Amino acid sequence: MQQILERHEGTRLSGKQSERLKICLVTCFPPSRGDLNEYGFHLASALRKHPAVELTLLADELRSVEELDGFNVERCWRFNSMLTPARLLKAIRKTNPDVVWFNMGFSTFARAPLPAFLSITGPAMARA
Amino acid sequence: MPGAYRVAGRVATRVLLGANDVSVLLPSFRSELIKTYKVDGRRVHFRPHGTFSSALASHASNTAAQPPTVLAFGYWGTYKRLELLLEFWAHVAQQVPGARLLIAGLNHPSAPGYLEALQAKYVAQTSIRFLGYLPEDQLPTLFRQASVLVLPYSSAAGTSGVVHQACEYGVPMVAAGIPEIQELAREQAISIEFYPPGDGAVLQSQLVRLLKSDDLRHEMALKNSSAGSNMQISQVVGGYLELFKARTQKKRKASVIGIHDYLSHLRLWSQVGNWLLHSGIEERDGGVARYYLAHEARNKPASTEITGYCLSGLVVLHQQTGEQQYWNAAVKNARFLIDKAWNPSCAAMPFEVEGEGRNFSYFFDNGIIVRGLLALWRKSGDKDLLSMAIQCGTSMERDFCAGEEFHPIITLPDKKPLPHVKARWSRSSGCYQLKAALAWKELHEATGDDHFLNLYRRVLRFSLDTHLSFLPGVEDSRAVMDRLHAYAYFLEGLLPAIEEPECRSAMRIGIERLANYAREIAPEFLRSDVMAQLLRVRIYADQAGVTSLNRDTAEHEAALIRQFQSHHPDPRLNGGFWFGRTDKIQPFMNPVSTVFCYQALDMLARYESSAQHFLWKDLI
Repeated sequence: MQQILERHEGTRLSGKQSERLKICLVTCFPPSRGDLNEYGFHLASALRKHPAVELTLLADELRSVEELDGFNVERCWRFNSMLTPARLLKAIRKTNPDVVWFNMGFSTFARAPLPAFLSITGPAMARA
Repeated sequence: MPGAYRVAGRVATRVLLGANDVSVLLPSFRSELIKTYKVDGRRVHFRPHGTFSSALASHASNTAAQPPTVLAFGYWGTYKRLELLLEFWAHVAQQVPGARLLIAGLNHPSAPGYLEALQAKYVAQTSIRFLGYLPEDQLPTLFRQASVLVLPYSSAAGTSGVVHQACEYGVPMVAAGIPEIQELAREQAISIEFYPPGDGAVLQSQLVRLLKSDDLRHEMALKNSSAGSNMQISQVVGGYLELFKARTQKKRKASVIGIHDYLSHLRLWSQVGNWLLHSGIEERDGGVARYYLAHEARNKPASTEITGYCLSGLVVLHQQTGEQQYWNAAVKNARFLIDKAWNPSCAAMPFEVEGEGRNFSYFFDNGIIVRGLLALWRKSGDKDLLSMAIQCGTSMERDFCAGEEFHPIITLPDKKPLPHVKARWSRSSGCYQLKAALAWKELHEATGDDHFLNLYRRVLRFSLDTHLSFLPGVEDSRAVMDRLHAYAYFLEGLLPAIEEPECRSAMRIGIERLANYAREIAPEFLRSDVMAQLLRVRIYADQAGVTSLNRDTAEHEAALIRQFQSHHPDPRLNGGFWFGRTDKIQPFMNPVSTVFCYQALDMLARYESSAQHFLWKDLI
């Protein structure tokens, strides 16, 4: 299983049709070498080409970050951290997207069992 | 302990299924989730992983890779393991002089020290190189060096990104025969040679066999490259976006596309299908008439081009409804083209089969006929269809070539070009011919012959260079409307190359121009096929992320198209679409207008209501 996608119940597009679809992609993202970072990069590159999409990347934290040009990246979670779900939710609330897309496998967010388990509750919690 | 893992896995899966929608990368995973976890199938989706490069196919030869190179690529040490490969490598190197093994990638985070230990063990074997982590921009070079990619896995956690990358670069593969990889190969028509997991002798013999046979590698490379080009990541992401749109607009949609619309859509199918099959537009021998002239109550003569269009339309109808009658009719169209229309003595496809029309052949028409034949061939595999398509496609080059351009019309049997008439698009060469050149693109995919691809690229180049001067081209606004139809052919011909920046920009500009001219001339004269072509390319362009589809504009255009459909007690006039209107409807009922309009309305309905992805090859 690799990707989970998620949507807020708010129907942002229901009012104005011309408004862009706001997507948060939760993923490891280069220069991070975390799980699925390469796939995250290619998804983000394809999404970025869509004029009707406004993309925010919610990516894993790194020590020093020089972000790739042209991507809106927010580094808001850390590998193996118990706080990942809470921090992600906070970032999602702040961005208020139409869709949250998790590019993930079971060990994307953590290797240690407890944080890994807590992290996979992210998609379900993001519905709230 | 394995029991505990299983329970934890089930709990974790259950938790993940708390999301609104879950997409997985293999169909069997979807079935498993639905079966074991009782999830609503509408919330679980299968989507292919996708390939990344936009410059696919061009390097799908794989015969020139020197020295013979086997590539192993990934995060190593868990289920991706190198022991077996390394143990048997010496035998491979012995049988294939100069062969080298490149191992790229890092230790899996759970297996620190794994690669280092192996590297130390095999340090004496100089044909083995450990390359470590390679950044994205070095991967093209790496994959292009590879004669064969090897996947020595003991199990798999899902689909394989590496397999997809190999397809992108047209690399042949040898893999352990584990179910996930086998399913992937089957589902996406990827060519992989398998060995039983753990059987080093078979692994070794597969590698040797491939390294020694240029032909075999070439064949596998083509197949993989073709598989890769059918699942580009932009298409995959397009599928996700359609789902997002459908979800975020659910409430609005409930009022807009309700049961009424669904039923009217079903009606559209059967009306169009009935008209094509039972109105008499198709003659008994399977040829299809250019028009039904309502005032004179007679058909124009059967045209080979229109028969080709009708054939493509029937294949689409069969695909959507599964109804045998459409299949039978499509086969009949094809037999007409092969048995009755084709002129074997001069190896050419005439314009018509009776009267004066026998004495001409049209470049454009040949392209449409090839596409119709290939559409049916892809479903049936009947070799006659492919062989006829190849002969037509060959005639298009051999008989029509005029330097960098292609003549629009030649005489038969002597194959002399008719003089070009610049003011008439159908009597001159131009960017509209790009749609006919799609036939070559499809022939390349069907046969692997690069020459066909080069021909498509040549017409693409010519069309991109000339399309801006194609419109308006003439002064009379009615004639400009006719040229819009042709200009839309140019836009349609861009679709296979839509990932290329120049084509994206031409598409963007082209749609704008087409729409503006059509809007301006419409009060005086409007052709239904032009509106249908415009709406279809809008949807393709939206899907490719070139321009986003404005719902109001699309609905407006669909409403215009619907106005051309005829509802009449006379079965000859019921269900088809009229050709055009001035101050009143013009009395020609036209099969091409009918299949174009049908496809445009059908695509819009699907676009709005489901997560379907549209393939350029399905464009009629």
